[in-house]
Amino acid sequence: MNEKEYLKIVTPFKDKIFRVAKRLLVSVEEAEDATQEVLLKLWNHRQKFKDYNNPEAFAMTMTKNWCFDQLKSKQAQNLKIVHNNYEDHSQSLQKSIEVNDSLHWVEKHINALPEKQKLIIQLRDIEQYEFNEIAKILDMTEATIRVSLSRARKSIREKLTKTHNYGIKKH
Amino acid sequence: MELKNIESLLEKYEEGQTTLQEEAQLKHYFTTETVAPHLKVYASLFTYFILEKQHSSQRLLSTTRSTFYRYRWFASAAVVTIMFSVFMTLPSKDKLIELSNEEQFAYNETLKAFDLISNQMHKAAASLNTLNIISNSFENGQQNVAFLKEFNNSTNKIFNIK
Repeated sequence: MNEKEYLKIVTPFKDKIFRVAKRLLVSVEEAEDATQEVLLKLWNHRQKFKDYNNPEAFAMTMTKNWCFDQLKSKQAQNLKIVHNNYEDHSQSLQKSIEVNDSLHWVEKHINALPEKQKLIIQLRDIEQYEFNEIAKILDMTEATIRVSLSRARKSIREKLTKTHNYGIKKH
Repeated sequence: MELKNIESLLEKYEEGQTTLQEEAQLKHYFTTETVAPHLKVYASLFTYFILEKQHSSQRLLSTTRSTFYRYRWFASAAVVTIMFSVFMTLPSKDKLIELSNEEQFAYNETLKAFDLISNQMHKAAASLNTLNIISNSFENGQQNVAFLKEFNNSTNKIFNIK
């Protein structure tokens, strides 16, 4: 397999790798690094590539493992870095600020979930994978994934309702 | 879509029982139609999901490592090279042996000359010893003179000359 063929296979899910990595690692820079590492590892394993019937699922599993390893090594170093993905908000209009704010809360609540639930939400609600694919990627049964997903969705909704009603209703 | 329909779909959604098609319906509803006030929360949730899917990696794909990774080992290689070259250029004691015959001869001759000078110096030092002895006896004489002075003082007191 030459480089061109490889890139052809990989490009469709490259962004998915990036987004999953970003969900877990938060920082854009680190997510880019992770994407590059995963794709490089895949390239090094290209001889075995044809044996995998689903290279995308394999890549996602790799991404998951890589990110968890990164998180673990960071915890071991006892380093806490707060990532801020600074963006140019110059074009954001007064009108869209409110919307942005509520989206910001959604992001906050998702990122506050346990790693597994976060990952499942990312794979299902954002990347729209089927349950059997997620099961393959995470090496879990479909039933466990459904339970986990339901728990995550409920907790996000509860937290959102709370922030939404803050100052309006007593809770 | 009817509100009741949406509500039952949401219930299913929260139980994790919806299919991808049903979830797509929900996303469509919450991003295009006017949303009932009690369901506002879901609107931001589904909007977020859709927006998140549009993020993409900005870095170009390549099958080689980034330059940073590729040249990272250069630092250690440079250190090794510098250490080695310093070690090789250090002056060593074995160099004397490498002298040619002529140089060896010159070296020996110089040593002999220095030896000679040092011997002469020793002789000169020996003759200085006699001077030392003279100086010693001179000091003795001075002491004796001091005694004489004392003696003179006492005789003067006795005879009340002053």
